[in-house]
Amino acid sequence: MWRYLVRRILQAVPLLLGIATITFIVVHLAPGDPMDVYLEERYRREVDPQVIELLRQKYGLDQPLHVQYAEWIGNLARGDLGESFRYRRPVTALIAERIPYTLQLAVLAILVDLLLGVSLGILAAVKQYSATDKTLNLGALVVHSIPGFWLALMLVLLFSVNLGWLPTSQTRSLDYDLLGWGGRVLDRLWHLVLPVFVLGVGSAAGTARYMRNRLLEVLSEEYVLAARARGLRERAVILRHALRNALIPIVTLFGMGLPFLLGGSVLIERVFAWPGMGSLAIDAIDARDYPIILATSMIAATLVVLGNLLADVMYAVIDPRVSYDGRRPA
Amino acid sequence: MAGVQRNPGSNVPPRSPLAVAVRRFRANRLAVSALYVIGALYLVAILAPLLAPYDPSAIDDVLATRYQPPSWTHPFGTDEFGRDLFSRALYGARVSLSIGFLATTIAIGVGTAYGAVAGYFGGAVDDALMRLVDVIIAFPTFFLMLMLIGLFEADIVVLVLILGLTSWTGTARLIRGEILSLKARNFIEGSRAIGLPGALIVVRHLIPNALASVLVTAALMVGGMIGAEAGLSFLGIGIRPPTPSWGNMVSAGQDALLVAWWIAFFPGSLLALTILCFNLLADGLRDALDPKTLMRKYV
Repeated sequence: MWRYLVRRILQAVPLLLGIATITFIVVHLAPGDPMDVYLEERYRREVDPQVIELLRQKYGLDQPLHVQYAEWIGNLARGDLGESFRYRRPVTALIAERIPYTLQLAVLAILVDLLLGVSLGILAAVKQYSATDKTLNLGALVVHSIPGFWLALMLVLLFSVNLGWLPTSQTRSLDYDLLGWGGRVLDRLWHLVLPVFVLGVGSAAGTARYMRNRLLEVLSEEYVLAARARGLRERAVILRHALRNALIPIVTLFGMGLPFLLGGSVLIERVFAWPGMGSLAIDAIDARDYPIILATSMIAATLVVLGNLLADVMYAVIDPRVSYDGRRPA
Repeated sequence: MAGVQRNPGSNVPPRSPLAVAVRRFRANRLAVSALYVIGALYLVAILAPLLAPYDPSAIDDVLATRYQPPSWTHPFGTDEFGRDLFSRALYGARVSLSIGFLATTIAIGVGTAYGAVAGYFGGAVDDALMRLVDVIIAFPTFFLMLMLIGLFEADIVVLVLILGLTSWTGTARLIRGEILSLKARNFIEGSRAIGLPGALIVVRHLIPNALASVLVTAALMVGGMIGAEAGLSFLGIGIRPPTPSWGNMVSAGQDALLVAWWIAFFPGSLLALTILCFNLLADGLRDALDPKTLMRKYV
């Protein structure tokens, strides 16, 4: 197991290096000069070319590309992500501010996804071909097909604008600082309801369909027949024998789902004016803020690689049939 | 095993796999209706100039015509400039549907060719080719699209290219897997034994046999592409106004959500309907083309 883990981590290094290289090339190939964008935004007028030249020197943009690349990779390896052109602050600090907001959304959405997806999937599988099953299946497909950003807008329209039950956007109310400790927690949760619901329900639709099909596959296995033949009650057959095995691939979904939720949350962050990683990345792309674009891309890619690794490792931990040491238990 | 229908009586003449698939697909009412709706949507998109009651970008007396709720004269209402949203939605259908179709064609074409080459040659070629796929797959696709399209300030042609060229990796993996498993089958060994050239084996035998999974993937992907384009346009970096696309119409609707719900409502509903139809179609195709049950009588 440990040897496998070390090997996988070592394999991830050239992969991440490849990703870093491609990202670097793409960002620097793109048209648009970050200094132009940055200065125009800040001063809204023509700037002395000498000043621009000084700034370019300061950020190393006057160096040949391979020198810039070598410097960036070297800094990256030391965990230094550089300084944002636009905010004039270290990128690590900016990301550290934003990441908790995105993680709040992602983690809660995954919880909603798993709870809803797994339980509805079980329900559909147990009542295969019934009206419940068909309704759930079609319902899941419908929900899966609705663009999340539009669903979010429609829910804002209904619950915030018309009914006034939930806030329209932001992470907290205007009077947040006046609230007590408990009030603050409630206020935060209040603002999380809609974004988490949209993200979670969207992916729960996929999970439910997946869970249903997995459980049906497992239910046709011989050990389930054997359990039934022993006269176990249906409840015990499903919960004790079938479900355990059907749940195994769900951990894979979990490992691979995190980066996808981060991608999807770009849109949801826009709808709810949520100050997370997604909005940081989009603003950086607009402003050609190279250090932030490069950093967010690397974080996204690292999350995918880690998610896959996590999924494989959890697979081995949960499923005794999977062994990564080359030994196959009987 | 559910859903397998064995022929009653062995004197029924065997049908071709295609005929079986078509018959099964037609029995799936939801999938068939989805196909009809998709056909109707494409027809409407093609005929948009004839069907649209107004010029989609015509601006008249803005103050008098803007923010009109849905009515008989303006079925989807009017927007902040008094433009007819029904006409804009029709023209938006052209953008959304053609992008979905073209980007999918690119992704499926590149993915199929790439996966076929990797799977057929195997060994070092396969290793090298799939390493690149690993690198591209390590980006969340939507994020990659966002970065490329945002940085290159893409027009519609570049947008289609970027959507297509960021989405072929899944297809490549799928086809490679199919080809690898097909390669071990007797009929391929037979083709080699009678001296067919490699390219012919790939094009005539391997790709057609993997076609079932390609079709299902393509149907799913068109819906996905339409959704991706809408998302990018919603963020303001896909199709830029004044060209209408369903995504940028929803985006304009967000700004006016408090005064005019209809601006975001109708294009978003059309998006959801279109994507749903492609997903239903993919479901129907998957059930109809499932090789496990389709080939049962022939293996």
